[in-house]
Amino acid sequence: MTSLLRALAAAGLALCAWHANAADATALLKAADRYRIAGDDMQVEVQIDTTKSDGSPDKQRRYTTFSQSGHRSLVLMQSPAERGQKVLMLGDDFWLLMPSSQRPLRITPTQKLLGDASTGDVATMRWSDDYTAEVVGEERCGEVACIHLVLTAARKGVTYQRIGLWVGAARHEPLRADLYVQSEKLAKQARFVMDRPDAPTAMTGMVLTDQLANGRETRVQYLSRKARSVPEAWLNPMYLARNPSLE
Amino acid sequence: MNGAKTLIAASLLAASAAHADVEAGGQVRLRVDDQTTGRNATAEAELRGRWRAVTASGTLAHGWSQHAGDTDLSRVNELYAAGEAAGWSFAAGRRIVSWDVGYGFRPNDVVQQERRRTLLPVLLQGKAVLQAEWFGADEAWSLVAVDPTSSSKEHAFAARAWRRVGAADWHAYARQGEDTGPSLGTAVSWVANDATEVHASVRYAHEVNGRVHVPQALAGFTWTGENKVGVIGEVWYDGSAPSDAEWADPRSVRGLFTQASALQNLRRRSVFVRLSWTHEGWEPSLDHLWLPSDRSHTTTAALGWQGDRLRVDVGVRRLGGPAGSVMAASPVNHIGYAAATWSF
Repeated sequence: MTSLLRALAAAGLALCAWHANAADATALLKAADRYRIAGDDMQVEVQIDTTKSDGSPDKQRRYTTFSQSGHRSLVLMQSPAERGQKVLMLGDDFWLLMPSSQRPLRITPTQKLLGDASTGDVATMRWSDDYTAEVVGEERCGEVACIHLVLTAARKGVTYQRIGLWVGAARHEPLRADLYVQSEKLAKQARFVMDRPDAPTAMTGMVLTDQLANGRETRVQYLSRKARSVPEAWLNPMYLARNPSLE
Repeated sequence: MNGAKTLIAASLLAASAAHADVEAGGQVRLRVDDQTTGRNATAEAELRGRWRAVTASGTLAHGWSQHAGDTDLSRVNELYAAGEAAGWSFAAGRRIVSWDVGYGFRPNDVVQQERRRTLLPVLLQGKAVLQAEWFGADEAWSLVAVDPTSSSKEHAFAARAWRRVGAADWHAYARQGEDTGPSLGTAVSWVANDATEVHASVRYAHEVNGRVHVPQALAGFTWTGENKVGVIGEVWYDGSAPSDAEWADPRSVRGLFTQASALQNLRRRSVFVRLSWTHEGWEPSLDHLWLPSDRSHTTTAALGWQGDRLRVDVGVRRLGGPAGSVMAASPVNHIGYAAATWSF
């Protein structure tokens, strides 16, 4: 009887520890998210610079991203070669809209990976919306102590199925991440750039190294962020197909 | 008339320079192609602009052909005004209206009826339309009155309903033509898993290309791998294309070839496959259209490169098949092309 009680107590303690770990991990993830995006409904201007495998500059792209509550995002391509293209993401459903057509194209989660920084990289502003987190343990990230988290996709339409994320132990700012696709292949590695490395308040960018394309590097800069709720019609693919003015 | 069109197109650029609230852009393209019937070269500029409620796009082109010499072309692709009132969106003018879900064939593209499987993307020329649309959270209605144009010589009224149901988009289409009568269609595009999208389209039309009681249908899929390899596969049936019996009749064959440019498909049954790979700005692709009725085929190999503003495309298309097949009898049996496009 005593041994049964001991086993039950041990199981209870393990359950509590697991629950505390999960709660801690979720809190850590939400804290890390706050460095990327502060509110529910935001407009973020993004610039992406890509370099070739030999390190020479390749392309520059500009995007306007409307990140809205309820897993809804709209990405507007602003560079001359892509101007007028849009990607709409409503939960696990995605559409590509071309400027010369009134025909929204349904795209698959894998098609979001096409491009140097996938539209998923540009539009995903909150990990805590899409992933469940688990703390692996404390480690050293260069000079600073950091916490290693493993994020597992909680929804089917996310760009990466698993993410290894390292956040600062003191302030919980994101430091780096390993991004894995469905087949468990390491697709990209990310390094996050903060506004003030000694006392960070916001993420100003990230550097993505594509492990599936000879280490090709993509630098993502968040040029500006502001609170903005867009009209509901902007989140309807058929409305976007009309090529309306979205300013 | 051409001068007026040129003026409209050129004014888009001038307006963009003069007004800060004008959105403007476009591209310049140089293209050369070499085909069975001779060599051609084209320099063209596409200009797009929007000022308040008015949207316009135009094309200016100069062509050189080994047989026809120099030609100039200017046209207004779109020029329409759009606005919103009482929860509805309205548009009036020349406008591109593209419907349906297929890649190689779109039976329900009942307003624009654009040519598919072109070697390079072409800025379409819109139709003269009056359009009213309503948008809900997961549904939309579109009602279009189409005026006669050079390629569509009848008044028509068309409607589209769209509804999002989970991972699928459902579409319903109806068209009533002044001369060709009614047609009804439906289409679906469904994301089946992370890599695969499946689509299908069906239409029944009272009359198309002078044929009556015409069924048309398409089924296909797109698949994209994590390694950025893409596959499109489609099969379709087009009841508006000439029948096997018509192609077998020597008295009608010459007439069928003269109609060919107006037909979406030369044979009723088609199978289409396209493979592509995207890597560091490069996109090699290979596609194959096979007509099982006479075992003729069209194969296109292409290579595209997209830089910061410059895009380069090269490719070759070959048509072939057994003696007497429709592709083997085509006056053009190969086309090689190269194009450079600069976006601004």
